[in-house]
Amino acid sequence: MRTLPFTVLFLASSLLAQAKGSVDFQKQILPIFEARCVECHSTAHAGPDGKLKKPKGGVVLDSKEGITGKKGLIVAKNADTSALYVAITLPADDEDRMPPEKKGDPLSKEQAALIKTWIDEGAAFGSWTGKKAEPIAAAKPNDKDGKVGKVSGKPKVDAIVRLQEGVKPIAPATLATFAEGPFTVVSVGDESALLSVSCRGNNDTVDDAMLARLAPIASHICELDLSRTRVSDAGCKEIGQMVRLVNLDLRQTAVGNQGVAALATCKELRSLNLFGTKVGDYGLAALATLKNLEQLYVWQTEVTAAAIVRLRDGIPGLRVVMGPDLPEPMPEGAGGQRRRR
Amino acid sequence: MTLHDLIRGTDVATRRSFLTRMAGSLLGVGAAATFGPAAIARSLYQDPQNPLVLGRASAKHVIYLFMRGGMSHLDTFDPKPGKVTQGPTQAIETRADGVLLGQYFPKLADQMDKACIVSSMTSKQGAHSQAQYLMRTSYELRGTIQHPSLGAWCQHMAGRHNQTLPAHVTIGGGAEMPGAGFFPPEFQPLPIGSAESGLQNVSLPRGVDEERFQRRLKRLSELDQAFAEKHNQRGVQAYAKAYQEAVGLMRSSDLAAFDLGLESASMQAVYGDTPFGNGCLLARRLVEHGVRYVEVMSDGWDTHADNFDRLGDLTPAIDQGLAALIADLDARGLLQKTLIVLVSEFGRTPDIDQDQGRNHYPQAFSALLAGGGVRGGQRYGSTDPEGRQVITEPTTIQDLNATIAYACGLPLDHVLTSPSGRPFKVADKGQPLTALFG
Repeated sequence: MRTLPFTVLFLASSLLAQAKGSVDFQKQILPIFEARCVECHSTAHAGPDGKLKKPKGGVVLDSKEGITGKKGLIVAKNADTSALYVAITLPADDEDRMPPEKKGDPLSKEQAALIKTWIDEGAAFGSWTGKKAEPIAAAKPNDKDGKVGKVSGKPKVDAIVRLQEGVKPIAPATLATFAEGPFTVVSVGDESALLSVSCRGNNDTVDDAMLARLAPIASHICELDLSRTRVSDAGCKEIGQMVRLVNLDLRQTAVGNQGVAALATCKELRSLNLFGTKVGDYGLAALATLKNLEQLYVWQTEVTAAAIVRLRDGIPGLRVVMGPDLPEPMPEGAGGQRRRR
Repeated sequence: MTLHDLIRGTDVATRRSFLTRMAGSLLGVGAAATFGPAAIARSLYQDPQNPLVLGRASAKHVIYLFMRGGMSHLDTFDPKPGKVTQGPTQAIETRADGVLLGQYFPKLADQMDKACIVSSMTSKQGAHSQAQYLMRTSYELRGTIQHPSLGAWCQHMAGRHNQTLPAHVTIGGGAEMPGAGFFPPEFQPLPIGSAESGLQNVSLPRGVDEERFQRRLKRLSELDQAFAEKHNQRGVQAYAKAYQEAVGLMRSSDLAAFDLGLESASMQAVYGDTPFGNGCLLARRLVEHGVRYVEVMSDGWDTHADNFDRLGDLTPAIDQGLAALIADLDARGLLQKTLIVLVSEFGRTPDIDQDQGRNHYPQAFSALLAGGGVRGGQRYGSTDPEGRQVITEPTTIQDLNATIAYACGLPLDHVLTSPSGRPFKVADKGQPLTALFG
């Protein structure tokens, strides 16, 4: 008898719909899609991390264009062959069932019935057209082949090649003073006079005072990795002198707003790693002058999405990474290579 | 290799540079200053006849993931939906338009905008150990010589980033690998048996305090002194240096790089509590601390029978660990300077046999690259519609290794001479796939 109320409801709702002649998409169907589907199935847009978020499986349910554009998703007047209806009525443990198991319960029988009725009646949208696909800042209109997801690296060569023009090499005697550490000072490659500087290990022994040793070569440094050192705001003044700095890694240091503000003079910066630092919105705002900035990492900081939007408005093409797009953990017992305890 | 071989060693120039480098290391002047990419500093020491000039490195680190046994290309990175050779495996769409994966990689699919598939790998070597050797060294296995692996080449040419930590670490396998080959013993990778156990024997034994340990070390050096003076040769020096480095590492805060216990339980869960997942997480920690080259091994890919069931068991750990590694490195700003490479020694037959198995198939197989300057979201090269033959951009194992070396800024035409007097290059005659970058 447990199914009786459902059956009654089911009949009642479909009868009601029949009686009215049609299900109203905007009032009855769209709210279901919005509550249960569009988290994954919406028009490509920039996610909170600034990266392009594409609809899963290419299925878009927040625009008429999207719903009708995917062949077979909705077959008007034939719910049973419509992929959408099939997917929502599969058994809960079927891996193709939508919404997927990890996203919660299946749609209720009433909701499924409503969708079936709507499709069987012709799947009309009324005046609704939904979201328009807009040009997305995060998805850089890509390189020559139109491939998505450019990773930086070699493109910086051009900036470095330009920056090294006319730069005379540092005297070997000066470079020899770095032989005892704590820094490794090397050419950025191809016998360039520009330098790449990192720490030789035991990074927690490197502090602000040691940065003064870089002063004689400051104008030649184009890569500087001070990650996991004890460098703080005070040391950033020294870094601010490095006019050819292209790539700066300050991840997991105590650098905060004051320090980041001191970097505003490094106009050639292309990549700035502030992961796990104490920077916040105030410091971020100071970076607005760095028009060449391409990559900015601010995971595990106080920086807010609003500050990133403001910064990105002023620096076209800037990619800001706020956090990882980590996979869901593995379900218990999955995989034959699980560790045996 | 005997001590005698080591001493007789290489040609004069390499030996001189080696001795300089060795002396430098012992004096606390690291490899980078004497031998590494500091063109200016290095020019004081280097051999004008055979100059080593490093190129610009888009990859400062390499994480090399080896699927031992031969991973089926059709079921993983080069699916052919609808073809008879595909068998029951379904193809899935990914974050990269037009790049399909086998159904076993739903999590990796969400990261494919950052990764690149080379689907036109081809080789002639279809026997496991020979093919694995070729993959790691770029040379055919021979009875008369052992070639260095790519990690050893990296260390030899570009030096260490972190002078306290080893330049080259292997996780989950090691004894059978070529390692340092004919290079001196210091280029041998540090093997970590299992990621969760980390580095063993790095704390003082019970009952031995620092003072007593110092006394022991002093006694050791006294005992060794006469021998070391009499035989002032690099095998002997390398032995002393190994002790010195081990003690240096024991005292370093960088030792924490090996400790997975410092990761949150949720982060460990994201990588997956599997040997491979833990290996990837450890690789990330090592790269964060400046290790140049990390290899993680996954075993069991030799799916002669029940290929599809076996893949169902093998792949979740890889899907989870690799997807987590790509996403996590990216968020830490490390993917842009870390090249992830996933390889297997060969592919598996497009034809499915009566045991639902696939057999060895070197003619066509796939590799995956991500980060380190490689443009994501692309597929390079292609096989025919049934995955039998490479039809565009045939890529040899040497070409793939040349690509890794190129990303690391290693000079591909630089010749190093083996103790037997023969010339070798980092990727033999391989040509880098420069189209993957930028």
